[in-house]
Amino acid sequence: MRFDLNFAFATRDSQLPFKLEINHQWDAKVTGIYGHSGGGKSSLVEVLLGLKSRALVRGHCRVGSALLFATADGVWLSTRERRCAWVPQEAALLPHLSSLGNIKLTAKTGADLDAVITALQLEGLLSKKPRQLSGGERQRVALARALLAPHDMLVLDEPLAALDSAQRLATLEFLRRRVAVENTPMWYVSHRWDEILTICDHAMVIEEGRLRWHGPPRLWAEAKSEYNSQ
Amino acid sequence: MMLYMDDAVLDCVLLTIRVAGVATLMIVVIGTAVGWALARGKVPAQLLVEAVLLLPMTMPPVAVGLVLLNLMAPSGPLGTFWYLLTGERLLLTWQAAAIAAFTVALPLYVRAAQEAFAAVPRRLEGVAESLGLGPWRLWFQVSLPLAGPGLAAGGLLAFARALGEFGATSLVAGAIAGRTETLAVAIYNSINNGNEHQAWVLALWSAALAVLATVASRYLSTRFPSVERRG
Repeated sequence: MRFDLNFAFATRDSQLPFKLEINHQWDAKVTGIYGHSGGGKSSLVEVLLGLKSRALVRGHCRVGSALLFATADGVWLSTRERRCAWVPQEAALLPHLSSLGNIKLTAKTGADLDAVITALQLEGLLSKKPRQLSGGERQRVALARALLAPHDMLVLDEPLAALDSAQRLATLEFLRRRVAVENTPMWYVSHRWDEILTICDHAMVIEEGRLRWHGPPRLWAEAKSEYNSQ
Repeated sequence: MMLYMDDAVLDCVLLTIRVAGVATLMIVVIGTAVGWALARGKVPAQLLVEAVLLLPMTMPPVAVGLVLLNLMAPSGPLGTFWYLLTGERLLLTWQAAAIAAFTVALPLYVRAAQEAFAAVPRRLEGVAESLGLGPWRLWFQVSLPLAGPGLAAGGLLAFARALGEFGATSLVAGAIAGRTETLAVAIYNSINNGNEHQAWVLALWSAALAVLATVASRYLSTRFPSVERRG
């Protein structure tokens, strides 16, 4: 899948100004986004999803044949039109629905509901409300919800952060197998390089709103020491 | 002194509940949409609109009644519309009382609805949109349920306010026993007629209804806290 990203985003807040500029084109199925907190990872995700105000973004983003936005040509798909199913960092489950209600929110008819529930070990949680779940359980429910929603792309923001090591490994393996089977591009944001190494075929390191490094994750080891020393 | 219920008092109580109930129904339908639009910044010249919407709450109710009197008069727009619809005059009817209660209590509900919708995390709406929810499903399945407790509490407060409306009601609906004499108007008339006992009975019924409504409103607020304190 061809990714073409060339945009700038700037906040209007004079107290906390922030600018994000990315100009990068690459071929990948799963793109990892890595960087320190406050560096621009979340802003990049929100620009991709169309959650930032149109007035604050200049440029374009194309994923495969889908043009998400091109401000110079007046193209700006809504969040719904972009069909990028999102798993935010805090899961963001709807508190008034049960786990099953959340999972089935927009699940396609005939979707492999049972398979996903089993693979993510959610059987015992389906009737519970989000407030009755642990952080890791909420993340797994949010992941199932996104996987079963109609989408052309997936955006996962720290989807495994609250899982214990055994659950993380199992879920990573499930994601890895699912990516191999489906032809759906995915963005994977994580502060853990081992996760990006496992599942991503291309990685971007974002720092202070700029792309500091990009390439196959296996090559990061050479560049890492230079990045960490900065 | 004891609370008691004779036919006259019963008629008054039931009429008051009907007037306040119909007013509250109209308030909830219109106020929910207006509150949502204000919360989402979809209203042009929002500050001006908010100030105008607050007027019925900040003006003396009898001044609001004066405006409504002109609107509901046979030559006024509301009076004309009502005549075309029903063939009857609008003034001195319980419907006029309901419109008066609607007018003075609407700002209270709109403010509550605006706060309730503003408290719905935009992030939750953003996630739901990313998962494919269209605007109507988003509103009915996400925004409205999450704002629900705040809307219900606001509706009960508006009902309590509508129950006690006097100034505007007395001008446009008069005091026809059994037809337009709400509790507040009946209390005033009882005092004017020197029937203090009757006035106290009516006042206690009025207080009882208002307490029920406000207790229910507070119960909803605490039993179903704002979305940030939930799951």
